[in-house]
Amino acid sequence: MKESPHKIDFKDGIFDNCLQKLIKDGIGQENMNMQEVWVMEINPKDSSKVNGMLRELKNFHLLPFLKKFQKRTVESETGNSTVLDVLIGETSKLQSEEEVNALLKVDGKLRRVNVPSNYPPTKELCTEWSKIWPIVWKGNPIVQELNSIRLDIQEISENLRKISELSVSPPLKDELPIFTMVADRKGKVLTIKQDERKNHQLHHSTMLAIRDVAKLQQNDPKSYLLLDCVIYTTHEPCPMCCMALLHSRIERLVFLKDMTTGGLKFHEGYGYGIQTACTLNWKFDAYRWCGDEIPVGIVDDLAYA
Amino acid sequence: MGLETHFNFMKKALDAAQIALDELEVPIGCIFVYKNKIIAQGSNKTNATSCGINHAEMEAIDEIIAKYPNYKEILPFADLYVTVEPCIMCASALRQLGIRRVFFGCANDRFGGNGSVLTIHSDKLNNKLDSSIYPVYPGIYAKEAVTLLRKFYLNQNEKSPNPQTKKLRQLDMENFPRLQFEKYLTKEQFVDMYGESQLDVYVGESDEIVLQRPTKIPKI
Repeated sequence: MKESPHKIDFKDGIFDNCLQKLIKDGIGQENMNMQEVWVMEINPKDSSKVNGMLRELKNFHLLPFLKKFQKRTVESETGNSTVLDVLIGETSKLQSEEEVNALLKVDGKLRRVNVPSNYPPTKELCTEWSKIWPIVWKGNPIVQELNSIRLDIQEISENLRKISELSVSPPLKDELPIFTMVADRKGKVLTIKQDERKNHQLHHSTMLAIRDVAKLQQNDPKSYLLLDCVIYTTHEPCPMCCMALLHSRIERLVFLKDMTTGGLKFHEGYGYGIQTACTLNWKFDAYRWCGDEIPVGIVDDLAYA
Repeated sequence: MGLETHFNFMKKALDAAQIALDELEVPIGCIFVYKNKIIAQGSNKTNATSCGINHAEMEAIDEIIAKYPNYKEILPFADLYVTVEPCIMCASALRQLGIRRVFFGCANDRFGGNGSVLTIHSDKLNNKLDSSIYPVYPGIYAKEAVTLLRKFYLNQNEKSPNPQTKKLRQLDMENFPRLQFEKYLTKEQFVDMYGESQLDVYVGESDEIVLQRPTKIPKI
């Protein structure tokens, strides 16, 4: 895997100390949980036979990241010999030795062993935990995902400062200081809209921006909704606006200020995480600015942005 | 308001969905009812406008807001009848507008915001009292709503430059998905609206809500 050009805090999903990707299930648990399993000591020459039998019981062995076999050297008076320890399955599912023996028609000494029951979040922990029972390291999907992301921090912060300036400037009209910008894949700004809910309660800046882009692209057969577009907005959008963006197939959203009623967060407020709530159809990445303060105009925290 | 009234209003929503179908749009339609009168009608217009958010509900809401400057006083006493469960966007819009009740035909498994994917209509922030929550009543003319959608996807198929010949697709009028009512409303809400006699629909033992329950013939 290529090294990321960003400094990434994997635990909190923060890029270069200033952009936090909202993530549902962090990188995973750093504490190891244990679970008791049956392990059988067999003769190495029986390994393929046992492997075949275990495969037939595939619903039984539910810890796919644990290796099935582990070699072990046994010392005795006649010299050293190698045996194979086989992971059979959880003792919570098969309670007695008789039950195990009935399923596996091989001779072998059975014993109960505690093994890790959760997948390690990092390679280092994997090596550590593998001392207890070998684990197949396939990388961490969240770490891999974060590593594959490339962000133009300079461009993002410039765009955020643009809408910030509009938001904190003396108001030109009596509307909420919520602003939304849409940029296309090349970074060209397509529109910037302010909230206009005074005469229409649903005329949030995001809804207006989406409609404006539709109008601009009306005669462009190559365009499709807001595909590949990046959205910059001063306040975390409400569930309506988040879903409108999902319907519009956007690529990414960056916002400045958290809103209690926002639709993006996974672990606060409503916890909807709408950007990934309908993954059968579409999803987008959402980021919160957490770098040097970029101010926004004041909006009641309980308002829908 | 008797059940028949709700059926009649949902029929009008189906008419609005038919308009969308005729215009080669995903066939979803709705009406808003205030004081027993239809005050707005909407048909999905996402294709014609190349805008993914111009759903039937949004069209009707725009009409209401344009027509009634005092719409904020009207909507808390208005009901929506829509052929398909509102998506998350529309469900949130309805909540922000303070709609009184929502009736919908069939579920929206992919985007539904009234119980299928999220429960925007009933979620309370930190369990705080919130007057903007609203009840939803699914199931009236659910089969008719699904049939319209199936007709649309069938048409799409015919128009495709490479029509799928693998299997001859035809309109399925036999099999319809059953609503899992407990996702959308409580048993009490269901009984209040549809009556005790339809409870077998709620628990999934009967197919659909019907206007006239056939009276059971007593065994002699």
